[in-house]
Amino acid sequence: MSLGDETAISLGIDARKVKQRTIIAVSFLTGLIVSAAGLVGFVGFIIPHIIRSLIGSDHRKSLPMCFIGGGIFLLWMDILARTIMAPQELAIGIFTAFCGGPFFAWLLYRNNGGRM
Amino acid sequence: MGDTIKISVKDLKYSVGAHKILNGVTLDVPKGKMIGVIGPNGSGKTTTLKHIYRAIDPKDGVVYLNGKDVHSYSYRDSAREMTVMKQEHNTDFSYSIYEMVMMGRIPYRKMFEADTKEDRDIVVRSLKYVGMDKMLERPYSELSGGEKQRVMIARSIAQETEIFILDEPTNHLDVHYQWAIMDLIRKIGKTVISVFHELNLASNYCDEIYVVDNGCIVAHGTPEKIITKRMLSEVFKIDADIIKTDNGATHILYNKAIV
Repeated sequence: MSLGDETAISLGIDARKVKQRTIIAVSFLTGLIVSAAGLVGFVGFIIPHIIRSLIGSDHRKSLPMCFIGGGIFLLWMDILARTIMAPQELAIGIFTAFCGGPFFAWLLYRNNGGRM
Repeated sequence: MGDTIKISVKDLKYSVGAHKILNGVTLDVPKGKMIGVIGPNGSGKTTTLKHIYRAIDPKDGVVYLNGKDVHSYSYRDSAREMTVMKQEHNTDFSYSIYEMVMMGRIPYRKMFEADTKEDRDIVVRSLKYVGMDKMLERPYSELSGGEKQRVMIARSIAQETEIFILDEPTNHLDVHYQWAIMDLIRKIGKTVISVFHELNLASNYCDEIYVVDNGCIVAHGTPEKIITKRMLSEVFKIDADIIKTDNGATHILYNKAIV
C-alpha cells in the first residue's frame, strides 16, 4: 500500500478493506489501553518517528524496535512521574506531552525549511 | 467466449457527478495480441483501463476476465491474471530493486508468508530479462527514469500473468526509452492492452487499435485501417499525412493543429 491504492489492487491487495480493518483494530486496541492506563499522549507519535529515522522503514525491523523503544520510553516517563515530586505521583501524560509538544514543534520547524 | 478473448468490456458506462466519462465502451482483447487505446485527453481511455485493472469498480456495464465477470474474482486472483504498469512511482519508502520486483510475487503468497526460494529465482530471472540484475540491493529511487521503468517491467514479469496492462508508462521518458520499452514488451509476447499518447508508437506496435472519443469507441481495427488522415483530423483535430514504410509500418507526419 506504500505504492498507492491502485498499485496495491493490481497486486491483489484490497487496500480499502485493509485500511478499514486496520483502523478498527487500532481503535479497539487503543481504547483498551486507554481504559487501562489512562490518557498517555504523544508516544505513538514520537517513538515510531525516531525509530524510523534510526533504523529505516522496514517494518520487520522497525515494528519490534518500536515495541521495545516505546516500552523503554514509557518506563522512564513513569520513573520521572513518580520520583520528581515524591511521594506524590504525577500523571504520566504530563511528561509524555512535555516531550511530545516540543518534538512536534521541532518537526514543524524542520519541515518548514528551518523557519518558524 | 473461451480462452481466446482474455478481456472483454461490454457497454461500460461511468460518470463522475454529472460528467459522463464513459458512454458505453465495448472492446475485446484477444490472447497474444497487443491492443492499443488512443484518444484525446479526457476521452476516457485511462478510465476504461482503470475499470479493467479494477482501480475503479465497474458498476454500469461488465468487464469480463477470461470469460467471467471480473467481480467474481478476488483482487488476489485477478492479480494473478493481469499486471499493471504505470508511470514509475515516486515513493518516500526506500525499497531496493530486489524488493520492488519481489512485490510482484505478492499475489502468490499467503498473509505473512516469507519469500520462498522459488520467488527469489523468479525475481532474479525477471531482472535478468530486462538487464537490471546487477546490484539488486541498490535503492530504486536512485535509478534513472528508464531504469525504473525496466524494473517495473521486471516486476510485471515476476507477477507471472498472461495479461499486461500499460497505462502510459513511458510518456514521460526519453524517446529512446519509449521505443526500447515497447520492443521489450513485444518481445515478452504476452497479451497486452495499452494506452498511448504517442500515436506513432501505437501504430508501430499494436495489432489492433481502439479509438476513444467522448467516452465511446469511434473506431477499431488494425493500424493500417484506423490511422487515417480523416480520423486524425476528426478525433485529434490535427492535420497529418500518413506514410507507409517498406516493412509495412504506418507513420504519421504531423503538419499542424486544426483550429
